[in-house]
Amino acid sequence: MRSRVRFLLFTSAYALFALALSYIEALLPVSALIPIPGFKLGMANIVIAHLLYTDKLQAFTVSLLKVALTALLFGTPTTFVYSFAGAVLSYFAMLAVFVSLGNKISGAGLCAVGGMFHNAGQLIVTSAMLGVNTALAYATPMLFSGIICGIALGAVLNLISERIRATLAHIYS
Amino acid sequence: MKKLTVTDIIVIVLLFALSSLPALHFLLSSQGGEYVIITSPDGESSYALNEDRSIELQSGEWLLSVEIKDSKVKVSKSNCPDRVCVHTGSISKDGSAIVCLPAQVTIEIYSGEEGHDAISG
Repeated sequence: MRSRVRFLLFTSAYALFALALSYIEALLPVSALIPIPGFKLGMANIVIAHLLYTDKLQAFTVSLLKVALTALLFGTPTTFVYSFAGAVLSYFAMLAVFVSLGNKISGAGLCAVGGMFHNAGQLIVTSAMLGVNTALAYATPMLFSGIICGIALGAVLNLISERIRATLAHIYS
Repeated sequence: MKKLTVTDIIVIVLLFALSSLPALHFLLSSQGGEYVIITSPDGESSYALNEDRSIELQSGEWLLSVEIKDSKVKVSKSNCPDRVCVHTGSISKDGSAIVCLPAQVTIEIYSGEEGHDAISG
């Protein structure tokens, strides 16, 4: 019972952390610098990737909570469909890579996979809404930006993940 | 502290290779388009790409100026908040598009051989 309470508490805390990161991201004027429609840094993915190392179910829960909360707070039904598809595909791609490669891969590789497949999920929605040709025309810039942002975020994750783990271990003990 | 591993680099290179496939397909198969289709909440209209003209689009509170010139299309002016459509610049190839999300407008180029309906279903 105690561990279920702990799961609930930490899931909420991580979901809020992911939400705060996407809020900060929404404040940054990145779309003026990089003119790709739908371009985003995806900073919340740091949280999901970090959780993959510790608790896979928690990672998925946080991912879905983050999508639902951003849709309720800042989104529209359309952005919800896009981010939902991105989040689910990104999670399962990262899970597959993590399960097959384990500790041979660091956060940078993991987040690069997550970033690319997040955008791939959105491209699938784009092709359903606006036609396959439109999606194909945007595919490469979208996927490249996903990979590059993923590498950058993964590098950040590499720097902080051990410290987060150490701090949490300290709290648990 | 975790470090970048060899596996990371292999995975990243593979991802880049996979991501370039759509662009390769696009570059190899595409030629200049023949007509422009502008879709807005008010409906759809089509224009020939080789006739120069400028179009004013009103969509809700947003006003977009679309310019067709020298077989290229661009959004020259817009009062939407992020102006992604203006920053996209000129497009001319079959299948390329300019999107303005706030105004819910897409500007797409098609060639005659593949009808618009065949593509968007």
